[in-house]
Amino acid sequence: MKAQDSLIYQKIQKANNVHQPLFATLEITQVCNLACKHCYNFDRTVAISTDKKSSIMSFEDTLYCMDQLREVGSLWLNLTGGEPLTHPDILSIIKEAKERNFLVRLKTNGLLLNEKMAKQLKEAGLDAVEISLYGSDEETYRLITQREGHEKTLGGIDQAVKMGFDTNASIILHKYNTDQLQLMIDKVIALKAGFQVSTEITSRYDGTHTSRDYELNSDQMKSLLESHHDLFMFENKDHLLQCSCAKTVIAIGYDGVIYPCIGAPIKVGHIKDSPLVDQWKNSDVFQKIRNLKTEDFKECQKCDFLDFCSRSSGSIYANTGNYTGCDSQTLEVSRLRSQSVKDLSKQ
Amino acid sequence: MNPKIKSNISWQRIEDEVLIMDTAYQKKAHSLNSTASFIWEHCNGTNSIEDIAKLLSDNYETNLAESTEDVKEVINQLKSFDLLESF
Repeated sequence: MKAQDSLIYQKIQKANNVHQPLFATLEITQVCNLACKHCYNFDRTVAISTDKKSSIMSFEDTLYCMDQLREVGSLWLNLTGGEPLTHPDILSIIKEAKERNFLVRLKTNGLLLNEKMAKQLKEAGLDAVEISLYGSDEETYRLITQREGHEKTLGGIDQAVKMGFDTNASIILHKYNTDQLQLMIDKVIALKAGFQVSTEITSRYDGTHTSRDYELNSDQMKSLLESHHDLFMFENKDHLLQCSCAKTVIAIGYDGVIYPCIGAPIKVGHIKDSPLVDQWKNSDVFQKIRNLKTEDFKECQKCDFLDFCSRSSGSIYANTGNYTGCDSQTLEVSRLRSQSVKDLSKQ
Repeated sequence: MNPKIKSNISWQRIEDEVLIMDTAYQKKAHSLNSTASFIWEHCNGTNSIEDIAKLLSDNYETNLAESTEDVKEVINQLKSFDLLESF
């Protein structure tokens, strides 16, 4: 590990030990210029009230949240949505976040990230950009997002790199694009950006589940394990079961609701209920998550594939309502990894 | 001018230490010990070196002359890492 990475890792461990939420996500809007079928916010494929579609966090409330997050000990601030670049005050929000000494990361689909916007974001002080990529061509992109935008997304990645942001493409794999993974990776590398790959598609915050219709099936996952073994293999030698929710991670939704993580839709309280420092320390939800023990993960105790499990409690909760349980996708991926290792050892 | 943390420097206190993430200038992470963290948090452009030394001396119950030397040394280091405005 490089010295710098080691230093940061040590500090994250320290924050984990004392339960300090270094990593905060602030969902500043529900508004989006795409209508992704797998979106976890709400079902964007059906007619929905204008109120829901146009819900944004006011500028004043973002300032309030940022003050509270700073006080509770956050350093990394992820601005997300919806599409955060549609927020009318996005540049002022970033400036204010930098005034508060956050390391600010924008999670965006990149469609609005043209040269002018990239310059404005740089001037505002933005540090990092994560841009979602949904396919390697316009047709595939449109299948999941219901809009054109593939070329604009690549343009956004290009602008972000040129502007000097720490830029990562978040390659979202869904059932329409698994065969395009290498093409997407090649395009991102050609643009000199980093990348990460996600196969995680969960049920939505509104309680609907059709987003999961776009999850990878078992055959697709198996193919990916064969074609990109290093990317998808994971060995859980220490049998770790918990993630960083409620320890080094916190999230606040567009409506001020506090969550253990933006991927774990468990309502903790409202940002205006009482000081965040108090809620972080004393809330029943946070306490319960922090006090979980290995034996509380009952299904995991009897699982044959724990050696290969990369479970996310938040995703499992979103899919099943059971934070300590398991879901079909997690189990199947672990099983396939286990099988893959067995197959390789026979060769 | 008094010592002041550069704009665009990201940092946070973790227990008795400060973690600094300089993504704007030298693209480095820094960790400060307890004393340096105290000094860092008082580099707000309002406090002079003498003010910070007095605060440090009061807080840690140390000799003022010794504290002044400590503050100067830490501030010189922070400046060498491009973390403070020129003054």
